[in-house]
Amino acid sequence: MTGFRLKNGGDAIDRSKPVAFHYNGKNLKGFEGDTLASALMASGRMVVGRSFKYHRPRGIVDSGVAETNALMQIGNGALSTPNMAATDVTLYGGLIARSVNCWPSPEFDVMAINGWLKPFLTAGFYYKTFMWPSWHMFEPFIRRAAGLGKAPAVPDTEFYDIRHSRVDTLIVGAGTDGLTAAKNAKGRILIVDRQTVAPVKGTAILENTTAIAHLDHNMILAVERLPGAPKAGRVAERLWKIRATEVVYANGYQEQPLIFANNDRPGIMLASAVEAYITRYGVAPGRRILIASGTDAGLRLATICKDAGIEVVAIVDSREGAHVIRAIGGKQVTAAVIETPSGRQTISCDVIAMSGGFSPNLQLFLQAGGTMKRGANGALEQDKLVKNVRFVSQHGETAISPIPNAVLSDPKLRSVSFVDFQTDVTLADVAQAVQENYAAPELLKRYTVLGMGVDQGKLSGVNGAQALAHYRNEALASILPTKSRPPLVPTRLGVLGAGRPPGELWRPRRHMPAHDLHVQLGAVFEDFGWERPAYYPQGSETLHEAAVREVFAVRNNAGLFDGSPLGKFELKGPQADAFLDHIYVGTVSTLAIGRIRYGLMLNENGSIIDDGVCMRLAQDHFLVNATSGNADRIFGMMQDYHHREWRYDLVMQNVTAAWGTLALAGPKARAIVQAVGTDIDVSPEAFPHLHVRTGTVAGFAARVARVSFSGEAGYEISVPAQHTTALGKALLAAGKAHSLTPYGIEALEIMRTEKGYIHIGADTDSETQPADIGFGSAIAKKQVDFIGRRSLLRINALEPNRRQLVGLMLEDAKQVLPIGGHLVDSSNRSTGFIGSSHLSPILGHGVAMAMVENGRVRHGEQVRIFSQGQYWTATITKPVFYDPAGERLNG
Amino acid sequence: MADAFYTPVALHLSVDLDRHSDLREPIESVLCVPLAAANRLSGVDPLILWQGQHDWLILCDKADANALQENLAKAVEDKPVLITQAGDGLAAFTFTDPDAATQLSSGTGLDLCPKTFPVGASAITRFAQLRAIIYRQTDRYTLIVERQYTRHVELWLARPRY
Repeated sequence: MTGFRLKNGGDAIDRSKPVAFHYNGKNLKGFEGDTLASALMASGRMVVGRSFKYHRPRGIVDSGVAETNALMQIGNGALSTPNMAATDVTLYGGLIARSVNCWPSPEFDVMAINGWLKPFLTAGFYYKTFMWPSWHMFEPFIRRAAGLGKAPAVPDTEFYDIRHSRVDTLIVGAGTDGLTAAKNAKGRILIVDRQTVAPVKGTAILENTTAIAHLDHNMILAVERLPGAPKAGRVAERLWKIRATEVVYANGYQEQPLIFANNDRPGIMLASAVEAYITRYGVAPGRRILIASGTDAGLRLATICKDAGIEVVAIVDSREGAHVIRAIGGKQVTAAVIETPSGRQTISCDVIAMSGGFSPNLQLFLQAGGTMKRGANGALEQDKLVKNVRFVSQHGETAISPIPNAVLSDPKLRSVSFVDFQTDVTLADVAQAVQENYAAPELLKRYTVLGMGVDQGKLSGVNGAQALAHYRNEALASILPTKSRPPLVPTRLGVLGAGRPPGELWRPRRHMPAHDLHVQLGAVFEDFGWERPAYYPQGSETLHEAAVREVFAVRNNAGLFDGSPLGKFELKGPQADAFLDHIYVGTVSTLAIGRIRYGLMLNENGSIIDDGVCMRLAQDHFLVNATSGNADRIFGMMQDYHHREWRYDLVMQNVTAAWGTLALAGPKARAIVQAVGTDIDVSPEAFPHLHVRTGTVAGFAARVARVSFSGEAGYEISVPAQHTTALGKALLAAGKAHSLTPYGIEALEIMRTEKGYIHIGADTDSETQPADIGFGSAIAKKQVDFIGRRSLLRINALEPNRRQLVGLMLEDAKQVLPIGGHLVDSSNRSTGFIGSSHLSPILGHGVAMAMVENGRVRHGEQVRIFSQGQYWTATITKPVFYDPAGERLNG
Repeated sequence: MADAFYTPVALHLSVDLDRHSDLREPIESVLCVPLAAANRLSGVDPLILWQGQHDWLILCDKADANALQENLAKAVEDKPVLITQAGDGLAAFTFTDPDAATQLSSGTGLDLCPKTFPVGASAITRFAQLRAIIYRQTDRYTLIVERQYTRHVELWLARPRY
């Protein structure tokens, strides 16, 4: 006989509201208020899944979060969610559910053949088999066979909300103990419970919410299920991050199953689950129930069954020495073999309701740092408390039923006596693990996968520890179950990532102040930490064609580049120069007012971490540039050193966002600055390269720096950010007569490579030191200490074979060397790498910069480059290909 | 959703008052209000926000920021004090909805309960992965982030919620 709907009863359901749903392709009906599990049971579906390893038929065992058998794939396509416990899915119209880990159906599963292979699939079988000829030959099959549900192949179309909350007292669980705790609590009180909860005066309530993790400093993660059926665009769940002064766990006790042979057959359920299905959902799992219990829960259930008109064929009470030692049946239990002091007997039944005692739900308490111990009766209880974390639930039936000796000792029985239903771990597996010395609870877990299923051992941890104690021949008190990790219940990845939703919001994108101007100019943007124009295509130009055109425009006329992301820090104070001497490899204190100096910054290991220019605006006032992607990190580093190392008399500000910076470069740049209007004397004599001036440009207050990253004469004009667009428009209008062309990162990359200007992080690596790129003399001359100096005196920093910056020229002028390619010696050992490589439009051949062992004394030498199966031959040169004398720069 | 988004008029004041305590008086006399203490607002217009050690943000509504900057510069001439125009680098969002604290709590772990974050409170915090300043005046909360993240905050506030 199978489950059926009782004529009466069912507090949770509304019989006037039928709900149609689909299960394994069949149309079924339940009622509003049903869970998928109760509706399936009412429809007579007893086999709802197959076990993980042996593909044994499995039925519903629980009515709550501990359900370990009835895992379902819910929904289709983008709305599909795997491994949802049917007991935890509220029924809604149109719900689509499929059993997992079976084909073609749970009733008939081809992979049940694994049951015949059982002797070869014992605990740790994968550590001992599939070794010859290679694990990788078997791996694809194993991977395909393993796992339960299927992750959707398309992105989730539902959304997830997030909310933060702070409370004085958080109470997890709204049962009697939780409500009592709420009454006694003060301040802001919040109760979370996975069921609906009646209002409590002075207390906030989060219902349909499950606490899933206890993190440091009493940060509790909880997931709230939001109403409504799944559909694209719906907000499905909300992640709560709750910071509580005190956490009270009143999340109750979990009934434990009994261990006997074939205890996994459909129809064998927890007694509390049978009670819940009868009382909450008006569903009987069968007509002839055998109750096997070591607690009074069994007696209570007998009364409930009687009231519901369900026959109780026997009550097997382990306290009186009676045990079920074997269940009979295949796809449903048909009888139980009972052992009593007076002998064995077989009793026909279609349901076995089992109660092996109640164990406290300490998982979250343990995550908080609490510990557990065995009480006088062997039951688990809280031991060491954590400050401001309590477990307050009480239960009178905590004694865990012993596993019958007949089962523990009989190899035949124990090989089908399941300790962990979800991971198919039997008593035989535990015995074998102990025999092979995986005898600690943690090792047992890893060797047998006991407790590693999505239920995290809620139904297996306690009995697993009991079995382990037996096979180790030790007292039960000495063995405790392992802790479970967050999340406490299966949780969608989407809701865990609610604070960083996929798509545009995944990572904050940074837009430059003149972003809209670049859009108008037709820029193609790329993410360089900021959204920046990579190039400005005209017509059907490709990236390369556009970049080449832009390079020629800059080299022959003038180009306009948006350098707003450039890091800009102001430092002011009488000791600002002394401080910057410590920060830079070069000496800043000797810099004259109005002058600019290029410098390198190192970490304490002596490796280059950033470069840029430093400008002296006044005797006690400096403007420091850092690379765009590094700005925040470098400013943080400077503050850090100021606070803890060199507490000089100065203040500093990161003004990167407050200023927009447009760079004019090219032989006609000066003429354009003059044309747009400025009160700064921009003649080469009055305003040469590496100088800074303040004044107005196009009517805007501006700082103008004579610097260049292209190799052409350059004017970096910085104005308050809100004026950047207007300045850009003014420059473009004034530059029209000079063929002023906007250029992007791609053109800049080509030009700086032609000129031999390094890009930190591309041309250097985490071991590159100043001397490796030709800045050794700056160190030798410097008098004061600076970050990283000590490391530059280490033996390895002085080795002659260090990688040094060089240029590379290909024999074939039209080829371009691969960035990331390795320079290899005759034995194919890597002796360096290529950091930058482009086809130089102005020179008409490929140019590259590389770091190579002892490179500075190898100019003219031919080297081989290897990348992705191909070889190139190139000649080592100086790392400057264009205007080595710097005449254009200073023009 | 935010009621309004705007580019604030703001000065960024950095001065080490531990080392130069004598500068407090001339600065406060120009501002006509005391410099804000940690996590508290000071004044109305200009409104002073504490931004961390030695750092204040001076928000001007009708107050003349240029004149303030000039007067402050005069008051602390030749001293290690930075007074820069910071508004261009900032974006401000205001929330006056009675449910504003709940709206903001999606993006920040800051405790915005009226008891712990009363009128006159301010904090440097994180909002939607960004460094942010949140402060509360009589009828509204204001969120300030760096200007380059304006679109990110707009998208965050407009994302589907329940």
